[in-house]
Amino acid sequence: MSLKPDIKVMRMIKALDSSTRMQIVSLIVNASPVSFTGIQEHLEAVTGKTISKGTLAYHLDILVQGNILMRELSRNPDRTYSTYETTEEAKKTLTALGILIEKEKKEPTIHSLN
Amino acid sequence: MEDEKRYDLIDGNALKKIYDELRSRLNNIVPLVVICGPGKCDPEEDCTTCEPKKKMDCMYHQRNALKTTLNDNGCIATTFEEDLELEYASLQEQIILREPEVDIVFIFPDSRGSAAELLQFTRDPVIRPKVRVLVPHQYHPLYTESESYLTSVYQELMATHGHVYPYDSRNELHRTPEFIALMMMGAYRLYQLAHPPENA
Repeated sequence: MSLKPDIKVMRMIKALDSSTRMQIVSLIVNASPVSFTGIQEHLEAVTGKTISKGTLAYHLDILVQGNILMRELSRNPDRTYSTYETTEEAKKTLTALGILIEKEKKEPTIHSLN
Repeated sequence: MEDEKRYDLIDGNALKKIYDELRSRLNNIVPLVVICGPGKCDPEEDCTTCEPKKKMDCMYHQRNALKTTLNDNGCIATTFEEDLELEYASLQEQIILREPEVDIVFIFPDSRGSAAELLQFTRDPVIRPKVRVLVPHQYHPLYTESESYLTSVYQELMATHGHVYPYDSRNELHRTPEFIALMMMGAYRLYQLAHPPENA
């Protein structure tokens, strides 16, 4: 698969540019869809630190706006529940990026040697 | 003579390559924008059913329209999400806005509380350079006779911070928030291209 380095890809890369968001995507790629609370519990288990709901919502919204995750909201009279899963476009792009990185390791280009 | 030789090197193809390279680098700059403003325009109503006329005057809708526009134009724009019914303490917002990854913060102040929060942000030396305040033109100190608390806050900010911009959601007397923000982000990208951050 070819990967055109266009603005959509650059937006995805920007959205991934955080260790917290990387950990979120790693979880969701392997286990989507995941609830807000599920993500919070996972992050706290991995990092050993508490993460506030507000901070988590900030990171999740950046991933949603970067078209890496999609959010499903379900409401009932008491509260709103949200679940997250990876978008198809993100799966394709992340796969292509992975392939490119592997290829780069095997066959370094002149550009990467500079 | 030397100059002539140098100019010879810049033929049409070379210029095109330079242009393409700069254009590509410009497109690679993705500013991260946080938009602060009111939550639902009416807590008792579902805002998705608001009439178009009401949306024109509603900062909640202005904020969401701006978010969509910026995300459609190469930025990553986020808001403090009310869909999840989270209560954001302003201290928590302040911690997020201090993050180095946040490039620009647009604020639509709509109440005394949010004006106080705005002052708090602009007194924070890390957040201050990022803040751009968007004010409906009829409340902007340059275009109103009002002596309200909000107007006095805007006046103070104009004197001490500077970035207080009047907008007109109808695009009649002034530009819309989308126009102002896109113009700023275009200039911001060019500035970043010319002055890349040291850790980039």
